[in-house]
Amino acid sequence: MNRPTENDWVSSIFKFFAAGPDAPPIQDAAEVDRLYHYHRRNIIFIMTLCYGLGYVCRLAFNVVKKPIMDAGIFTPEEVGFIGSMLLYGYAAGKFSNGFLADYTNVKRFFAVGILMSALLNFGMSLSTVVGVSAMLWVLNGWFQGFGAPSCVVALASWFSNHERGRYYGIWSTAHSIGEGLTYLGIAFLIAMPPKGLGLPWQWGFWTPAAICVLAAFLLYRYMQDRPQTLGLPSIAEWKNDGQTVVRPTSHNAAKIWRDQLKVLAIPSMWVIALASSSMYITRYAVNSWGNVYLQEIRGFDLFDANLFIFLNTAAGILGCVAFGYMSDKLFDARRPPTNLIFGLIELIPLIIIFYGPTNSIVLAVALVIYGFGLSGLLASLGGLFAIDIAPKRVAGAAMGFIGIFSYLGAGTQDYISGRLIYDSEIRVVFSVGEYSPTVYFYDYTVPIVFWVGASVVSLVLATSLWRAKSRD
Amino acid sequence: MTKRHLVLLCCMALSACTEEDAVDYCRDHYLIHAGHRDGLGTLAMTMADSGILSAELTLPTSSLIDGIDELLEDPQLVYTLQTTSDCTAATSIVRHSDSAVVATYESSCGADNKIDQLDVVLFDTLMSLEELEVDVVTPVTQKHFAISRQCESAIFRLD
Repeated sequence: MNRPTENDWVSSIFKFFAAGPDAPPIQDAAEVDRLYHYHRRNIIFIMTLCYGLGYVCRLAFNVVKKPIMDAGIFTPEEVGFIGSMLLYGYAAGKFSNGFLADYTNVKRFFAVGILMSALLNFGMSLSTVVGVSAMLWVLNGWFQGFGAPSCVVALASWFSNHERGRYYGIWSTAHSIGEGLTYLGIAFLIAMPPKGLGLPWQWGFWTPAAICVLAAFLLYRYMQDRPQTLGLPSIAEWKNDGQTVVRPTSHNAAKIWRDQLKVLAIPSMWVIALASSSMYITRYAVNSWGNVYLQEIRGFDLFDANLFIFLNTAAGILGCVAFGYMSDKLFDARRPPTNLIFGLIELIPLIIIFYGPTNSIVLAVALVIYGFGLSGLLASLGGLFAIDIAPKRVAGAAMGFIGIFSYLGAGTQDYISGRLIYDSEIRVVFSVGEYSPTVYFYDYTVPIVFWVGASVVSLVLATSLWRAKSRD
Repeated sequence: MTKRHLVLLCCMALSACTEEDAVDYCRDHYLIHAGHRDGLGTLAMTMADSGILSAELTLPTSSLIDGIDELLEDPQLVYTLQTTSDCTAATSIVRHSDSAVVATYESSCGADNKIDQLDVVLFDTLMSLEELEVDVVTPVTQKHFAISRQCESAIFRLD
């Protein structure tokens, strides 16, 4: 028997992930209807649930940052470096995985991505070496990037143009499922009794890993490749809504690529990319360091600190919806005035959070309003506004360009924040026989200037495009 | 794996999770701390913006040993500082009350001098000292915790 060659392995992997061939069409209309209804219900439910569950494997590190720093395993600088790796991996994934997802069986692509993320989280629970953790986390970022493009491809394949907005909205709630599970659920495991179970920080990786294994199983069992692979007609034919879905082919790929490169020649796109990148600095600073700040400086326990961060992320759902509605209805689809309003709605509470009264109610209200404003602005800079300005045929490339910039900003922020926090470190070390219990003190004054300053820069850049015109 | 195996596995996992643990002296310290708090020593340290570190150590007389004054009068036997540049020699005052001995210390390091590390060596000086309740205030935050000879880490949950 011949041993498999390297080419055989590569070919097997490609075959495993490749989109399946079309099955012989089912002729019975009633059976087509039944199968479509059955699979659409499964797909939207499983996709939303599993994308949310998968999010836990991305965010859990934020919850265990402080226990890890308190245990002296990593310094804030190292924690920031590791955290930034996930965002860099995700940024790289934004570029590669969106392209790959168009050619794959998304059921397998998504399931494998989430399973790999589970394994990498498990690996993180074992690692106390900064280089190893950074490597695991950059890979996690990349595999986490399998999810969104898979879901977008599934939405395009199983839901028609006229209903996709609704289903996209349902799928978008997955972020809140994930953030809720992480900032409340994982925090509950790690927080000290009576608010939590007081489990060691490793549970902050083991539990997400177990959740993601379950999600991978559910995806593999209930998600589906394109309708045609089951012998069903395309969604356009079934819904009769006349859309044409163009899958990339070798014939048109070169022309699309040339058009996509033209995005780089639009000066406004660069301004939006920088504005979005600055906004992501604030967004990820609050989401990944905010709970540590609230524990270190404000004296909240781990559970309450994460609850506050959850409030800001939950309010974000409303912010996204409100931005689109307000800009369409009140400003005739002009984004710049709405950018300015939401920018101020985001910036003022941000200043109150860090420089305002230290009252818990004020903090909670400020975080909710901040989350609302920030999400609206993100919806614009990372999506609506960018698509308005970009030529429509290369809207995907415009989104990708801004997405990469945004996550590069977020990743760089994580490292810089960690470094600035570490620079202020004061250690109080007790020499107690064989033990040296150490308590760490940090000053967030400089990082806060960095986070708030990034928001100001973002607002100024976004407002500078006041006269920018939409393109067809 | 059959469904029966899966159910058995879940039951085992649940029983493992619900099994009552024995009280761990360090992890569950809040359960016993109130009962022995009155007999403990305390250490309050404040780092001011001006670069002055002040500390007050209070030890109940029940825990005292012969020659305690000489030991406490030497700040180096209580704490040492690691800073960017040198601080002035620490001053100390030791006084007695009916129930405790109180030692106060002050080190002046200068506003532009960064304190990197504060090494508290009191447990090495007083081998009979079992536990200390500590309060540390910096210009931006405050932390309250206990240090016990039996525990590897500081204990933050005391109530």
